[in-house]
Amino acid sequence: MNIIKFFRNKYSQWKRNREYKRKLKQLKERDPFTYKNF
Amino acid sequence: MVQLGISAFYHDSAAAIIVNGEVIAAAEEERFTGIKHDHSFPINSIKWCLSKAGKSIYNINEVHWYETPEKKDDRVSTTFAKKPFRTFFLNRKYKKSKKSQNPKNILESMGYTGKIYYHDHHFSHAAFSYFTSNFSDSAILTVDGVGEWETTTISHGRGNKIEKKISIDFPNSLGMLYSTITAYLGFKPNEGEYKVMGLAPYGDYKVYYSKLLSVFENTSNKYTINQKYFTWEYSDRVMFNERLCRLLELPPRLPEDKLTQNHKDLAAALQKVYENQFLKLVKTAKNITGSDNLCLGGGCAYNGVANVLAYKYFKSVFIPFAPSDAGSAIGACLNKHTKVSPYTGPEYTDSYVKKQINKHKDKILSFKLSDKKLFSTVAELINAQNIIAWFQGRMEFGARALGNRSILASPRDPKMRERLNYVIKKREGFRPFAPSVIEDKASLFFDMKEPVPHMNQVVKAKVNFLPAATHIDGTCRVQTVTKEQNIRYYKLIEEIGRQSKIPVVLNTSFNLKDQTITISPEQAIQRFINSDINYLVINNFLIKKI
Repeated sequence: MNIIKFFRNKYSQWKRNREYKRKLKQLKERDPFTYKNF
Repeated sequence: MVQLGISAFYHDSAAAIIVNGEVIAAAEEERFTGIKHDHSFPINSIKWCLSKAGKSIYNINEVHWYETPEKKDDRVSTTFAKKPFRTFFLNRKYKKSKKSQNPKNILESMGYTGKIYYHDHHFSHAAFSYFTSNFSDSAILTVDGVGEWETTTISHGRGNKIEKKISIDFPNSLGMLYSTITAYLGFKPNEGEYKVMGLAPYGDYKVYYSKLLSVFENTSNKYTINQKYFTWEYSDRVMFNERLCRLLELPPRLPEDKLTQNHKDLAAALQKVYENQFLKLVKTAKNITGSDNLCLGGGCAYNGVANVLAYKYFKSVFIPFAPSDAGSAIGACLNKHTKVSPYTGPEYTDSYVKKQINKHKDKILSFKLSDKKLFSTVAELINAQNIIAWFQGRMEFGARALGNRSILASPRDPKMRERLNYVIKKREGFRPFAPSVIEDKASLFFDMKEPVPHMNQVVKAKVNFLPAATHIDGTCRVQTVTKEQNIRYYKLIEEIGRQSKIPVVLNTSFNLKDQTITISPEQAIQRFINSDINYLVINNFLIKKI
């Protein structure tokens, strides 16, 4: 059971990280979404 | 002595002209170009300021630049040197822009050959705040994203001297943190911070508070921020990295995504973190200076919710009408106390207005009324739930419409907020509107410590019959009005009060979605025709659609 839980957690973590990456990539492709500091 | 003050190439470019110590004209470049927070060289503002003062560039004795380019350059090159490979292209881009942004070259090409005085970015903020206040002894706290190196300073103003006591340097920046979470929530940095502030009362700060606090390595009055979550030092595209997402366990929101409770909770946590850190700085300012007065400056001084917390340590708090970079165009020129009105922009004669009205004769009808008739008619219309665009005298300087380029409505109508947000301004429904009130009567309606002429403090409402101008947490970003500040706006609110017993009017800036505040009668008429605003008033002309 613990192993199943472990892999389930790992899978949901991987899914979440993939979502973060995807959103960040989408943001980067847009007009600069930043406070001008240079 | 003719001085020209310039703020450019950062956020809100602006120019000001000061003749023998009097601010004759000042305007932000965005009003002329229509580009919000325009950061380009303020050529249009300079031209207009010169013409208003009846001067040419050859009459200028001194130019005051609001920051020191060498120091900024030092910060940028030191920062890039930390990650030379990652910043290779950014560095090239920066060097290229640096050449075209050299103040001396630009001013020489305009014909100015005199001396240019460079002032530290935060000194310009501090000077604008302190020298336009009534205090002869005051603590001065400036907080913004970043200047040259500094992001926060505490100074002591005494007489005509400002002495810096403490500063915090980049990359430790409360302003940058606020902007980062603003971007994280899908709002544009340096523009959407108001939205985050408005969203915060809808959330529960406890949900993300400890997570957000963990980005600080140290939360003392000399706070430091752990850069592993942020890209401030090497990116001009986004402000955070995946680590911040993992820390918050929340995907960043894209502008078109739905706002969820999680987003509201994060906004609440950010506001709380900011307030706590701000309060520590305020306490330090009190301990160092021992003064009873505080002047606030820098873009973060627009955070009206946090500003009122300063009364915990200070008897009197002053926040100027343009605490952000725009105000620094004036601040850079000041070296002694100077009375400056927020109404420093263009104004138009009746004959010019009539000419513009005549161009649209097929779409609008106009009536020229006497002052008395105008105030009573407009008050009647507002009390009858009409929305009025109110265009009078000289344009305001700064982000706030203070009664000369405003959209006015009744704050007593519960549906007015939605009507204005969705129908007129086409913006998010959660955003609050501000009330303007006659100063003498303000304490009847609002729980305030002192007058707020520049609409930069958020106070508790004492009454429940102003639903359109009261936020979900029972607060209002109030503006108090006196005869001395703005006689025509005062008379209008007084008349509204005479008719309805409540001398309060809802005031929001005269612009539609994604537009800058209206500058001219032609723009006002165009915007009036293209919107659902019921009436437009320019000077003494009452205008309605056919």
